[in-house]
Amino acid sequence: MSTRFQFITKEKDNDNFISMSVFWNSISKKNGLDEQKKLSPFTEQLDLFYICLLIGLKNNLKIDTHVFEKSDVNDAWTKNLKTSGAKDYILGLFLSKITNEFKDDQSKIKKTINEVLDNDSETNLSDFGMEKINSYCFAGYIKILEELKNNTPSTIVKFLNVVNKLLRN
Amino acid sequence: MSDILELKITGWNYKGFKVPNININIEDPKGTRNFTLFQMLSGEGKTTTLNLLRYSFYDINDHHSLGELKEIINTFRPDDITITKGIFEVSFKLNNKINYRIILNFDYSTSKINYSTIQGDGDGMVSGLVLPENLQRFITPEFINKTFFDLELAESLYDAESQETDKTIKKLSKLDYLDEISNNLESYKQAYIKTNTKTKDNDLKDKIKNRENLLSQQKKIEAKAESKKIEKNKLTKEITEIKTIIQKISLENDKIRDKVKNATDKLEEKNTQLRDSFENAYNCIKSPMSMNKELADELIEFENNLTKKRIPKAVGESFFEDLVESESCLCGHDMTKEMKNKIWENKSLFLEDDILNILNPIKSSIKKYDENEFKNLPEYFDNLIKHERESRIAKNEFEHVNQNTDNKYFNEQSKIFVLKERELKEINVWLNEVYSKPYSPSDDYNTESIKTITHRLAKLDDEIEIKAQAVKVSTKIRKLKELLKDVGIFSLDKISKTIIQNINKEVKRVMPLEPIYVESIKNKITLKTEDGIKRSGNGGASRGQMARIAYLFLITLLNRPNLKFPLIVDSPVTALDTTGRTEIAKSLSKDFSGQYIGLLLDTERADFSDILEEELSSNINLITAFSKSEASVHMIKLAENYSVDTGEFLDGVVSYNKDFFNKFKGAKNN
Repeated sequence: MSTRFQFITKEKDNDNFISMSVFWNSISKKNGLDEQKKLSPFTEQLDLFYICLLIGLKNNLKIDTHVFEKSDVNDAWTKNLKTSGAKDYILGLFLSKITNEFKDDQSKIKKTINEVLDNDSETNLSDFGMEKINSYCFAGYIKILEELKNNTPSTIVKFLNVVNKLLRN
Repeated sequence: MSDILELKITGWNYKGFKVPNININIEDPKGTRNFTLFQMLSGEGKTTTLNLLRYSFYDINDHHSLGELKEIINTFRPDDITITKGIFEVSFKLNNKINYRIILNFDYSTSKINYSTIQGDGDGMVSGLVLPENLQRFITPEFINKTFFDLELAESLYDAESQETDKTIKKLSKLDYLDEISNNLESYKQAYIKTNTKTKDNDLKDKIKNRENLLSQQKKIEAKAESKKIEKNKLTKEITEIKTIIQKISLENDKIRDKVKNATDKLEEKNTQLRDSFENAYNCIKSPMSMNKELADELIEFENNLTKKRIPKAVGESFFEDLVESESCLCGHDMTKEMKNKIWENKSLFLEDDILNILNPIKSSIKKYDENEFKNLPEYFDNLIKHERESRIAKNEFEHVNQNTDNKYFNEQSKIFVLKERELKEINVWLNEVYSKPYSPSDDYNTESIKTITHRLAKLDDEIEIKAQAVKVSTKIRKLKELLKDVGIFSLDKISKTIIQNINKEVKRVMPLEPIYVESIKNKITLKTEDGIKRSGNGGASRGQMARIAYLFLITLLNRPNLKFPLIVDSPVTALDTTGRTEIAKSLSKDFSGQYIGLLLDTERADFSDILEEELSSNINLITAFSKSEASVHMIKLAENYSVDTGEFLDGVVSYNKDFFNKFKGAKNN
């Protein structure tokens, strides 16, 4: 069970897999010679996690997380995602997806919500909920990689355009 | 390393280099003098000396192409082109008794270096570099470049890409022997396959041939990547230096300052626009309801459904606990065991009251969503490309302005800056998009993707093993290799932990004012402050602090092997402040048990040489060397005042006088 938001470090039996950390390095804000990276809006690893999760949820994609080696990223939502409301929207979308099949069954909706949420956790998610969230996020990441033909984005503009395309279509 | 425990350099001579033709003796009267400071002025041959000493311990001809050799040899050639030969001779002692002399003959006209060796006293000269076998195995270019080092190595220890820390630990702790065993196992397997290959099996022969070609391609590309990484580090350093020069000139010259300021302001403005575009785009993504109508509808429907179903309506856990413990129900009827079980079972149909704290803000955010908030959303994403283009144009204009001022030197430096930046970009593109490109079956035969080559090699290996009926042997060898790999990883980890502990024990003393500790030495040195904040690369730590940690790293590591080999450092304390110099001198004298030779500038003496002298109770060689020229008349006069024999060499002076060493300086007193 995972209690934290996670990054994929490796796909088992696939040495060519681009880890989320490598991907993160290509979009995160850095003071170096790359002009665009100096201007990047992405400052915390959870930014990438959030975007992947959103794409996974939007496209209703889930993946078996056990086929990956993983590393822990955060055990709480970042201030930025909390104050912008992104955390509420994404949790809303997550709950909507997992309760969608019981639309008319009040008791099952309540049961599912009880199972995935946990107010004692900084993430508001139970271990079970976190496992599910990671599953959507990883699937979203795979979708982004597919769109980028299994490469990291060469610029921030390219990355944002890919995200825009995957969310708008 | 059966019987060779200590190697000590006892001197060297130069003839026909950019350095005066002089002899240097490293005195060691009782066999206990380990420290020597060799003082020269900037540009007089410190780095030349470091490189000549490096090349004396491995045959440079075996490690460079003819083109590279030519380039290297040219760096040693004196300005006088009538000099066509250079001879460098280094003497050393093994275990304080066996004398050795290595002679390097440079032929500038043919760009060749020939080696000769004299072993023992009175023995004849043999051709080539002939070191005792055990020593030869240990002393490789990688080893020498780490033990005879300059601050560039210190800087590369902080760079993850070069993985210099791991390489250094492996080399100096002899963990690379494990790789050697692994390679021998692989050679055995290949020999076994060849023996098993039937002369008529052309398919297998073709596969073996293909494998050899792929292997050589793999080696070639790995070597190319290695040199690109070195070039990348060099360029990054040069770019930083040129940037400093450009900034300094533009601040000093009014006209340039105004022009550059205007161009800088415009670039800033365009970059700000691009940054804002990035922020706007990300803000849209953080508001998924504005990104996609379907998502908005889904969330609204979700919220409506919850409200319709009167969710959340919460009951606390304690309510159910109290209820099942009571004898009668809320309606007053007595409760049976079955009824109690049913209540407990169905409690999950009610939300736990603390879940309200999560659900209510979600519902509220969805309800409060204002669809007009991101009505310009398409524009935000369109602007990305527009602002990216404008920023690029402003950057080009900025470069143009910087290269067309009335200051020729400034223009030149700006041009070099842009060229170097482009070169660096090209290297990064090759490393990231060609060399590290993921495996693709459609890559052509000459691909430079290391992943594709490795993948193809593994596939070919499997096919060859099956065809040659070598699966059983190969499986055993593979297991052994995996085992060796695990041993290597485990040992590296253990040694690294010990090194970190040893370094951190010294930090308080070496950096008393602002202690910085080593967090990790995996691939590169990562630092942390006392409160645990990580500092990767040079982020936050000064060059001096980084150099001090790098020193501790190397001293700790060099004290490990059984072999005591000299540590030779070019410009040993140039980037260090007073405290750093003093404490490094103390660390060296206290902790380093091998021979230390520091090639230092006159400006590096303060707070370093005097401390070493004091700590070592004057058991130290303090040598000064300089060339004779019009500019050095004052130095010659000063040397004569200290009874230095200034006539011993035709074009240079060597002094062993400690007082002269402490008074020597390049600049003339007015």
